[in-house]
Amino acid sequence: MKLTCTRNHLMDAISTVQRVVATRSTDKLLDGILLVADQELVLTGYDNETGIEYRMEADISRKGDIVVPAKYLSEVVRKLPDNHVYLEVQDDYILIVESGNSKFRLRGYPADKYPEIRFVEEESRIVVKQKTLRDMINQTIFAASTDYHSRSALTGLNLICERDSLTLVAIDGFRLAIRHETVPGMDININIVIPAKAMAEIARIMSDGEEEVVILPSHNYIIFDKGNVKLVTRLIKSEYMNYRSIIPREADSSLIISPEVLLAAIERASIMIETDDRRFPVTLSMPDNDTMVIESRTNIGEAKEDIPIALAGDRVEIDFNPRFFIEVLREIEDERVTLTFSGSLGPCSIKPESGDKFFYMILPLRR
Amino acid sequence: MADRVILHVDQNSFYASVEMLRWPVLRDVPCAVAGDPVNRHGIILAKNQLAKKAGVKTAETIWEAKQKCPDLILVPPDYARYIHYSRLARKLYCEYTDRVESFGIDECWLDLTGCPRDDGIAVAEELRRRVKEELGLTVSVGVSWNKIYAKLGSDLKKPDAVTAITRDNYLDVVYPRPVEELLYVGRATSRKLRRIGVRTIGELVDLGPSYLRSIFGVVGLSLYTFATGLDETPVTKAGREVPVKSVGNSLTTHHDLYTEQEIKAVTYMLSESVTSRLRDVGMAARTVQISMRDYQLYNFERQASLPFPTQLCYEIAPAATRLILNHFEQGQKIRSLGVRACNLIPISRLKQQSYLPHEKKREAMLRLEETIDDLRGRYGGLSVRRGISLVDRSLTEHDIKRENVIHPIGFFGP
Repeated sequence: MKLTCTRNHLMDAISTVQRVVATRSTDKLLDGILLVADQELVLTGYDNETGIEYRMEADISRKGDIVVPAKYLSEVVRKLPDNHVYLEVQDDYILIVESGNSKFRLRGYPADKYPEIRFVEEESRIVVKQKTLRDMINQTIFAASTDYHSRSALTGLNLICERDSLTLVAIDGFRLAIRHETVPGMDININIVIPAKAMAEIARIMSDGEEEVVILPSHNYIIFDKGNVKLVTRLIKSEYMNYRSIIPREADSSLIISPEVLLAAIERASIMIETDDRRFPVTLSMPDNDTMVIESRTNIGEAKEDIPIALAGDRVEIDFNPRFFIEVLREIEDERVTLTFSGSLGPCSIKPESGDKFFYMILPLRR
Repeated sequence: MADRVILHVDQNSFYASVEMLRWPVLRDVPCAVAGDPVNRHGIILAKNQLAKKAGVKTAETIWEAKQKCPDLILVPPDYARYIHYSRLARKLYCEYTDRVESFGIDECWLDLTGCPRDDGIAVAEELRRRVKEELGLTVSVGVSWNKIYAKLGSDLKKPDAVTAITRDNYLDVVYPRPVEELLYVGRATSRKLRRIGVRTIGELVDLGPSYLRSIFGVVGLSLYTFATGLDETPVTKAGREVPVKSVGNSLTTHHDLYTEQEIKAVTYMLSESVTSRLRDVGMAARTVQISMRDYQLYNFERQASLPFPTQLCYEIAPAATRLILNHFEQGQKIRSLGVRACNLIPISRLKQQSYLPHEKKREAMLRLEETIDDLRGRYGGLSVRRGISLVDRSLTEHDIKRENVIHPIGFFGP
C-alpha cells in the first residue's frame, strides 16, 4: 500500500470509525483500524456488535491493506505537522506515516485476520432524510435503559415501520419516549430493536442537510448507508416491551405549557438537588386552576416558582426525578405542548398541542 | 500541641450487675448471666464478683462453670434491659463532652479535650461516683492521652476504680503488662508474638515498627502505634457514629440442622430480621454473605452479589438459601447459620414508580414487607409468620430482630 491523502480528511475518517473500535478487547486486531487501499482508501472499525466503514479519496499508487492500533494511529495523525500525508505499508506489517519533516513507523497486523463485516445486505429498504433520522434518535435515546444486566431489550431503540409510518421508541422502565414520522412512499412492516449505543453513533454520523440515508434492515443486522460512511450493527433479538399497553387511555387533568418555560423552572429548582442525589424530588403542584408551582426543598435550600397555566380537570401534587423532565424538555422544539396527569401516582404525559409527532411519559416518585 | 484527655469507662460485670439491681438477693450468692442451654446458647455471658472468686470465667460453658461452682445461680439474659441501662449511662457521659463513642454495650470512650472540665482524673472520679449513685452500677475508668491506653487503664483496676496512665508513668505501668492486654492482640496475634518471645507490651515495642511490619503487615504498624501510645484515632462524636456498613444476624439453632427444609426455614427467618433492619436504617444491600458452622465447629463463609441493591427478604432470602445449599452436603450437621447484608447504599424514601412487571412486583413486595414490619412492631415478631417456619417450631420460635445485640465494631472496620 502506498498513497497520499489530506490529514484533515484522514482524521475525520479515523475519528468516525474509532468510535466503535473496541478498547482492551481480547482480540488485539479489534483494537485496531483496518485500512484498505483499492480504488479509494477504506477505513473500518468493529467491536463485535457494530462496525463502521468510511470511504475516502486518496491518491493511491500501490494497493494494499493493514490493521493498525487505533489509539496510536489517531494520536499520530492528529498531531501531524502538515495537511499532506503519505502512507505506506512496508514488510512485516509496518505502516509508514510521513508528513512535513516527521516520519512514523507504526507496528500493525496482517489484514487477512481481521473479521469480515458485511456492509451489503438487502431484504427491505427505508430511505429518510439524514436530519430526520438524527432528530428522531436524539429525541428518544435518552429514555433507553442502561441496565445491560437485566433489561437487555430495553437497552435498544425499538424501530417500527407500519406501511408509511416510521416510529422510534425508547423505554427504561420509568419513562417512555416515542417519536413518529410519516415517510411518503414507504410500504414495509418491520419491528426490530437496535442497540442504543449504535444509534448514538448513527445520530453523530448523520449530516444536517437534505441528504438521505438508506436503511437496510435484515434478520439479524441493520445497515445505515449514507454513501461514504456505512454502519452495520447486530440487532437485539430479545422481545421488546409492548409500549402501547402502558399508555393510559384517559388523563384526569391537562394543561398547555411552553416547554421552554417549564424546562427553565425545573432546571432552577434542581439547583437545590445535588447531582444524582435521588433522595429529593422536584414537586409539581396546582394550588388553583391558574397556577402551577415548581418547587424543591433539600438540605441545601429551597426553590419555588409559579407558572401561570389554564388547568382542565383535577389538581395534582406530584413528585418527580427532575432529570427525567430536563432530558425530555431539552429535546422538544415545539413552542407549546400538552401536559397531562393521571392522579398523583400516575404518569405525566407530554405531547404536541396537535398531531402525534412525539409522545413522552414520565412516572412519578411515590412518597 | 497539648495532649488529649481521654477516658475509657467500662461498666463492670455489666449484665450481672443489672440483674443484681433487679433481684437484690443475687448480690449475696455467686450468680451468672448465661444463654439458654436448651437452645444451646449455654455459655457464661457475665458473672458477679462471688462467682468470679469461685473461678467462673466469661465465655465458658455452663457445665464447666457448675463444676467449679456448684451453687452458681444462672439468670437468662434480658438484652432490652441492658440496652436501657447502657443508654442511661451514655446520657450521663454526654453531660461532660459531645465526643462519646460506644464500644460494645458496656464500654465508652470520652474525649474531654477542650471541654469546660478537662481534668481527666477529677471527671473520672465524679463519673464513677455518679454512675454508682444514680444508676446503682459500678464502672472502672481509665484516663490517658490516647484511646488504647485509656482502655488498658480501665482494665487494670476494677470494679469501681480509676486508673490514670500518664506520660510519667506509662513506661512502668503499661510496658510490663502482658501483651494480650493490648487492644487487638487476640489469640492469633498473641500466639505469633509468644513464638518470637514477646510476652509484654514493652517487648513488643522493642521489636520496632519495621520488624513488626515485616511480620504482621500494616497491622504490625498499628500494633506499634497502639503499644507506644502514639495512636491518634479520634473519639467519634455522639450521635454521629460511623454509618452502618453491614447488617447481619446469626443463630445457633436449638438442634443441629440436617435437612434442606430446616436450613431454608432458619435462613428465611434470619433474612427477615436482616431485611427488616435494613429498612429501619434506610439502606439497601448489593451483596449477601452467609456463614455456616457445623457440629465440629468448622466455619464456612461465602458471599454473592445481588442483581440490584435491595432491602427485600423476597430477594435476599432466596439468594442466601442458594448460597448455603450450594455448599451444604447431605449428611452434614449444621450448628449455626448467619446471614449478612453488606456493600450497603443509602436509599431514598421516595420510590420511583415503574411500569416494568418485575419492578411493580418488587414495589408490591416492599409494601408487603413494610406492613409486616409494622404488624410485628405492634404485636411481636411471632404475630406474622411464614409457613415454612412451622416445619420445626423449636428452630424458628425466635424473635431474631428483638433478640439482636449489636456487637462492638473494630478499629479496622467490620
